[in-house]
Amino acid sequence: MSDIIAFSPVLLAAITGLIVMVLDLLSGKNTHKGFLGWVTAVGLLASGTAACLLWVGGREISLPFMVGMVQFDTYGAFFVTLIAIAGAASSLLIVDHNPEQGIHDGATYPLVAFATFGAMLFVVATDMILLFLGLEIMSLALYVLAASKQTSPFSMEAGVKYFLLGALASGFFLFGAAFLYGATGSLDFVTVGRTIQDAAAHGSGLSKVALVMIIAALGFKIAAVPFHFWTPDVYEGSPTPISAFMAGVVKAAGFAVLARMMLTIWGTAEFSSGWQSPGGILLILAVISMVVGNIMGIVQDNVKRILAYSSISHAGYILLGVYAIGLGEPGAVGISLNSGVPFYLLTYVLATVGAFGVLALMGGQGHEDMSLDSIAGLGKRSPILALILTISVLSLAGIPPLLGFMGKFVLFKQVLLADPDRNWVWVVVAVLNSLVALYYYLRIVLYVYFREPEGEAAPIIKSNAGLFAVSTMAVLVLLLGVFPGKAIDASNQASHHAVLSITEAQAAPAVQQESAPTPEPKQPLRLRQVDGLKVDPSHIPIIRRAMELKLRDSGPKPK
Amino acid sequence: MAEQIVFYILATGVLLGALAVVVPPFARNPLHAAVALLTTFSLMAGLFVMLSAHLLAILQIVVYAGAVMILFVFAIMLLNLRKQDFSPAKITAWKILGAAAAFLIATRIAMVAGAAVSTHTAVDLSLEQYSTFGSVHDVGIALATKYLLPFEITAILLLVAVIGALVVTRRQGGLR
Repeated sequence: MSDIIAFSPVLLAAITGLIVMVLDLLSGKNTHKGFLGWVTAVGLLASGTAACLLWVGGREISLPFMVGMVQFDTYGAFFVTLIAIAGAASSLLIVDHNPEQGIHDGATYPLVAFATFGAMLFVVATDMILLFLGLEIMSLALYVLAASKQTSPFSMEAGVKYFLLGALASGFFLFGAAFLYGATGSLDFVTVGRTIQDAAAHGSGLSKVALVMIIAALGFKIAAVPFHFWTPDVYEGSPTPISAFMAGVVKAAGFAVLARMMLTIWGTAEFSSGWQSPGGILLILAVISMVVGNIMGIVQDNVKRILAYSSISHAGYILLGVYAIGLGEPGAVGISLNSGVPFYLLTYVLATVGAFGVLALMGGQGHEDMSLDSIAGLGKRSPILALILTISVLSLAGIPPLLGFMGKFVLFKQVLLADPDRNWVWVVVAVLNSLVALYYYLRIVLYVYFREPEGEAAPIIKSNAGLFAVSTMAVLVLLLGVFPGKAIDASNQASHHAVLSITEAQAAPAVQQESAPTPEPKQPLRLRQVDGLKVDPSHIPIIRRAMELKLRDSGPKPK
Repeated sequence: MAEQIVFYILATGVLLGALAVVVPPFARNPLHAAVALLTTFSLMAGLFVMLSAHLLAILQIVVYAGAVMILFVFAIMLLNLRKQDFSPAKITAWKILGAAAAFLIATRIAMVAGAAVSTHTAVDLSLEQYSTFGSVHDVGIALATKYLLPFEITAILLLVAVIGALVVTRRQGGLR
């Protein structure tokens, strides 16, 4: 039962998908499918609420039957909530956007719900099989959603492009997972990490190959340079609410998994020392993502493409955060995720969903072209949408007092604190990049308020659902920007559990492998130390037994 | 020794078949490429048998070499491509770069994997503990116990695939 409770946020998203699917069938062919968007949003928000309740209520969570498969802790709760919010907003945006665009298919809503479910599963999974299933559920639904406007060649192109490259990325991920399995004989992060960090296997070729493969696969999902080529085309061609979903949900989920996998499996104290260390690779990606994203953003004339390049450059900032691990914090090997990263993702997701959301509400009467010209004069035609777009865009740029400023401030501060002697260079690079980015963000604002449309202006959709979604995003960006304390606290707690620590049950194999020096075999129970998420002491024998069974099944084969 | 000879024959066949799927001149005709893919799938089943993963070998034949291949051939047939539909293969700088990169990565991985294998002592697969791990019985037990959750969640993956196929293929009507 406690398994079900602990898994309930993720399950709720799947159940939402099923309910919406049945409602779609029951409601008949000629009804307006908009209400399904509300049902989806309510279901996903219920899932996010469940995640918050599990966190705040300090419910005792133990997963005796899912041990090693799923870990629902503050890290999972943080990202599940974030994903639920972004998913719900996207489904509300679809409500009036799709009919105006000539998409009358009710099946888009269950696909959105299932994609959200996949993203949540992706985040809470700690076993590579389950992780891959989450990745595929999310991706498969999105390939279809990207191509869901069948009358538009751009949408078709986006779908095919995303599918081909996404399938390639999935292949890379499988390759990486297979190499890890070959190197360690296990599929769950903690055991894999333990084996790799043992002296013998550390730095072994197989784990390096796996590292590169997995960075490539997840780099595709988070749209980091040089795995970014699909991003502008797919964001531009997909129906705009789906672009919002990709820029928000997929990026948040991808980063959550990237950070957790990197730090749990390869997270030693030397994580970010030297160019060939895992952190070094991330740092290279971070710098080129920032630079390429921002420079390419300057020369774009299409707002959706600008936002796509903006999302690439934001991937760079966040990668910088993942690179700069926190030292001396809780965690199996004395490292933890930089506490600015979850908070920055929160700021980014809210703002980018808001910005794409406004664009989605400007796609009336099948209008697809989102050039700067077509949004010109929005300030006069719809002051509310113009204001929301401005808030979102300025938050992305990092203007105080908006949330984006706090995000950048906290992230850069934490990066600097992690290693003041070396990291100041990268912080300077990031700040300079933010200044460059200001150009194209302000250009959007300029067009919205001070230019008259020369060609055809984008028709605005009257949509209560969409307006509700984007204004909620804008209000959150404003409110959290002024009062960021709670969100920063949440991010701190979440980042402390990013690195899957070794519980007593998992420390058991240390006794069996006498050959490996184990510095901390007598670690007290980690799960007990987690505030709010305590292990029921009566479950410890069960967990231990389960781990023993698991290790016997999956451990390295006896020679 | 005999096992090694069989392995090398199978492995060479798998690699050659995989190459023939994508590399011209063989891959110029989609049907030829499909046949090459079929070769790869079938020989792969042989490799699975050698690892005493019998269930996997059967599934490989039934699902991949059987069902999936038939779909491929049907799709090729329905597309009804003729000779003039294929543009002549051009060797571009990107292709050369790509081939070079693929070659480098492949050799690097091969070296790494070879080094990793040489540090392990050989495992005798005929030992009793390994001889049944790929049987229907053992795979079934694993699916119903340790991998129960992934097994169940696969159902949703399939559901998404079905809905996706419907959305992509059906004519959009509804309100007009």
